[in-house]
Amino acid sequence: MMQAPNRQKIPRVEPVEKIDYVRAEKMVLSNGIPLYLITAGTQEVVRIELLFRAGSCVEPAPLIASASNAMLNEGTENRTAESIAESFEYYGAYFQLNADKDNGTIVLYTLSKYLEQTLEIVADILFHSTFPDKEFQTYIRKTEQQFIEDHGKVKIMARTDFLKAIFGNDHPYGREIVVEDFHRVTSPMLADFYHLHYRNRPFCIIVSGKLWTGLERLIDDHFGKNRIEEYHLFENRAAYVPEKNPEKLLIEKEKVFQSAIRIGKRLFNKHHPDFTAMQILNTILGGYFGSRLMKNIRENKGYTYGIGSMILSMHHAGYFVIASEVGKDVCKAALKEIYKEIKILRDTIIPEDELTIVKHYLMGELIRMFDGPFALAESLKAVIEYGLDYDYYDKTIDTIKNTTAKQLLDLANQYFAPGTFTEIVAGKY
Amino acid sequence: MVELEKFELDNGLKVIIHPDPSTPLVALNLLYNVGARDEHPEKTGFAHLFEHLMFGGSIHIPNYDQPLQNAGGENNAFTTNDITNYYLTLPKENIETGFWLESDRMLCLDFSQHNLDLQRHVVIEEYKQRYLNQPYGDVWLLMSPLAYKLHPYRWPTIGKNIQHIEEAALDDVKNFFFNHYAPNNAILVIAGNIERKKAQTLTKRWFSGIEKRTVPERNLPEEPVQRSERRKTVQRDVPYNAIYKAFHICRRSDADFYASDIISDILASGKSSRLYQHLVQEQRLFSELNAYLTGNIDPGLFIVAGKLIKGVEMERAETEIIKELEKLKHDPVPERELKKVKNRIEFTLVLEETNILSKAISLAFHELLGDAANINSEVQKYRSVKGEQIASVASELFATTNCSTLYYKAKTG
Repeated sequence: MMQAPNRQKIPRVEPVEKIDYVRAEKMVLSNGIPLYLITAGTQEVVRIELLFRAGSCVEPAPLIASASNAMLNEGTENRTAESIAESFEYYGAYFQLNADKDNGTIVLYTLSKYLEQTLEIVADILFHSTFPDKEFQTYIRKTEQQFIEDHGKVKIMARTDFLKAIFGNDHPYGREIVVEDFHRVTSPMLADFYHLHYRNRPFCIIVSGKLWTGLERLIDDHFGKNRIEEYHLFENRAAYVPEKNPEKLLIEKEKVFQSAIRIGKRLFNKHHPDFTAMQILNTILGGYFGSRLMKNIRENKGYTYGIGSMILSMHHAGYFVIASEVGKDVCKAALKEIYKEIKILRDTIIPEDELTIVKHYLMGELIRMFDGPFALAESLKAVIEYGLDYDYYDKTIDTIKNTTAKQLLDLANQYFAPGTFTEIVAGKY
Repeated sequence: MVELEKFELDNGLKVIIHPDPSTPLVALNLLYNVGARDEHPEKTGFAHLFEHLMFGGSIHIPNYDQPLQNAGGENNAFTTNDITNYYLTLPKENIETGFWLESDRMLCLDFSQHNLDLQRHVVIEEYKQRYLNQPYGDVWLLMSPLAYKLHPYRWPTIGKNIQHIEEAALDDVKNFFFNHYAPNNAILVIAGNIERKKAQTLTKRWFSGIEKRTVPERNLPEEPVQRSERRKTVQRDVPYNAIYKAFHICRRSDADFYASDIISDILASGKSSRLYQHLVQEQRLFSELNAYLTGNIDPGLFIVAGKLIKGVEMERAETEIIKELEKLKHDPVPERELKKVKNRIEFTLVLEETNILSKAISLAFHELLGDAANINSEVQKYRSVKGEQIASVASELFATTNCSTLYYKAKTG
């Protein structure tokens, strides 16, 4: 008979010392396009991602980057929008387009056995997209309605005004989109953007899944034969990020049940030596379920369903933000508690046991970031888009292991000084 | 092919082990066979509130999250009308921490008035955030009681109203725990980088000492067959009109479930689907239009939900939806279209198997439905649906008398 376990005693925890993960094999296509191959996983599937410097950073007017990305598959010289969608779906494949501030991406998930058929369509989209006006009209109307719906949400209102406050309305990272922007965009503008930033322009490819030898030839056949035209990315507008003074803003909205809060400030991106150490500090404050903000504002006060903070990295800047939606009657009290928690980070050294938990948790997160072919691809992309390599993760592990509570106290005083935060409340205060 | 081993402890806990050495992690998924359908009609929202309480400490462990995070773990849970499901992942070296945590809260929760008071606040804020403070957020509060008159699916998981959550008492919490959180009412899945032997040993060590409990027999009223069309119109402060149609479908375990699911995909899965091509793209009636099944274990709903383009008449939009549904009754689905939908479903199921946690959750759910091993025959069940079956299921499904329609009107236009 089995002995009853001792439930008083916590099972021994082995700290994760090092993380073994599959690294990509880097190759170069005939035309110089870099190709990263990640062989991992057990299912017969392949994910292929094409990464372009085609985010809103480089768009000549609002919405153009996102609209031209979203419409890449709405028709080519050889295929209608419907035929493109039908073909992908016939092979079961998922085709996804995404544009953010910095990048435009094309992602395909397919069964290995249909890679050839689906890749051909992806190449057709990349090289022969036509941006037909009929499809454009449908797209822009849909998107405008979605935009108007979203802008009634306190969460979106607070986020928009926060970014505008810390980056300015003239900067691509801070620019507020308005309804009129939807009426100014035209399909020829999208075609121009596509010719300038996608077609025959430099990009990189990340392929992940249960890969096989010879697969690189297939990629080269489709994406390695055209001549790539190098060009000077006109990113000056984005590269210069003016300093902004902290702001305090209330966007009143009647008949709300909750108010949305954004508190934060400009910081820096992955290139900065303090980036990872600040991630540790951020985790303690609001970066995981056991964080101080969650404990205080959700678990002790019950003011909110959730509160979190994060540090975001972009190509030309970075920022720190605390985000929550709180009951409208406790908004003032919640703000007070948030500032109190920031102050404690500046005034009081983090207890060793709390720091240890966060370090262990972050090492666990790193393991999850490298679990499986798709996660490996995402983690690779997150460094190569900054011109960084796997070294970045080696350094991250070192920093997590070696950062002391004293260093975090100093960082809190350096970067979380009182009076430097921008505060936005949308709803009722 | 997902390989698995099943066994049952003397206390009735069902255990499924799925070793997968390709990941550095192990996932534990613990499914409790209790959901919102098991609630008293005057105490709704309780199963979900209870899910929150499960993180407030157990008999030997004052704080659930802290030791898990210290072991490098991550966890969460969800509640549906049918089940309450808890899951975590840990680096393989530290998986015992997961067994210790999950078995202790199955053994006995630390029932505290303080924790109940707090989580009531948190859940009320969740209610506001997700159902009251969002445009269209109250749709399920309206649709559930329109489509169901007797079965407990007539209230959504979050509960009928905030009052029910406010009134939850500590005695209710205790009763709920001892009635439903029993080893003989749970399914444990261990999936990932762990050997069978070790998984067995750890399961026995931590779970076999928990005593079997008396779980009241589930005796839910059957929803009477709907005999006439139901309609409801509301006006809300939203920017656009929306329309929702709900049709009663079969149980999850019936053979027709697969045909119904295929019908929803023919209509709305992907940009080449019929509703998207005809009503979004060509006729520009909707900005978004979806069709899906609620996926319940007892007879669920087939939902068609769409937001209208400004200026489009409600009646016109509805007529065009009905035309598409009628076609399925009368015109055979072209071979290639049927194959497309099945290929897509197959790939979706394959993708699900690339992730250890989604495999673990899926295994537990299949075990509850009858047998975890059925995870491997799902594709075949979809593949075997014939064109004729689509027409016959559609004819039954899309009868006007089987439908509840909600007009969700924008106040300003």
